Amino acid sequence: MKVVTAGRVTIAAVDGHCAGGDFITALACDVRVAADTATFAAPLTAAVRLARMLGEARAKDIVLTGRTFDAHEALRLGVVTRVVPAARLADEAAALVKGA
Amino acid sequence: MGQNEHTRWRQADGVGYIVIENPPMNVLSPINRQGMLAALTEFRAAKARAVIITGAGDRAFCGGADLKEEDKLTGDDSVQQFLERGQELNWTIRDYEAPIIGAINGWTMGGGLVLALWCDVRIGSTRAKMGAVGVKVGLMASNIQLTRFLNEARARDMLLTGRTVEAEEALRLGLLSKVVAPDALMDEATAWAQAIAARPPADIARAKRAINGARDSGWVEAP
Repeated sequence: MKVVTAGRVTIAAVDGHCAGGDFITALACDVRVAADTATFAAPLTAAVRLARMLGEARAKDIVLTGRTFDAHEALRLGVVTRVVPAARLADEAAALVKGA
Repeated sequence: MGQNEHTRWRQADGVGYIVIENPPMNVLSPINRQGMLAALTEFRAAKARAVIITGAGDRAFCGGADLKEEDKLTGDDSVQQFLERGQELNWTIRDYEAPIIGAINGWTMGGGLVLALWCDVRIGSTRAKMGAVGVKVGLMASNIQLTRFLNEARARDMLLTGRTVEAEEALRLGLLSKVVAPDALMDEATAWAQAIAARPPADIARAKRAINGARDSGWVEAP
């Protein structure tokens, strides 16, 4: 995972498996974008942040089970706001930052 | 393990199972509430790590709360007691240390929707049908829960029309976390319960409490 910044705006560009500390870092960023091959698993410590971001039902779903979900489900749940082919991830993050 | 006239319950592999059995529509009766509270107490003593609630048969999860009770209400005291009895189960579910999974096998209306929404997670079969039908009889039951779970536009839609939301739409709205074929529902719910059961119970209990309080706590109070 890479965190791209422009001034104070931070973008998490997620590739591979995003769990534990990486997941927390991603949540701390302003925007999250993912490669279509990325996977996610929410650690328990993300509980409050996720509840506020996604609402109680979605937060309990992923936090209490700790289950792994893919990029497309992450998009549907609202964990990320954009999913792109892996090869385009860096360009996508750069383009977002350029607009910031 | 146990049962009463409208409820049965058992445990297996650290997971508690509660079945609402009050045909034809598994309406939630005072006997159900007593049964469910007894089951939850038993499960806690046995240190169950997750609980699954479902409805008997393939038609209804819980078709509503027993409105016949309301006919017997006379003065302020009995109304107060009626409301408190209804709420006791809901608050027990919310404050319960172990996560509670609603396995939504069919009609889930009115008071039944309230019960389903108090569960921590909901998994549905393709037969799941959810509706905030109170408005059709001049009642409103799930208004606070739906406005917390859904954005305001969608909550108003469901509460003011009382319309039925079927499984695929419920999934899209976030009222269900997953939809499976009817004969796969209990296995799926069990798999989710086992995923929870595999994690340290104290951490799970803390995460559940944290999420329960997340909207109302300030940043300073968040654990």
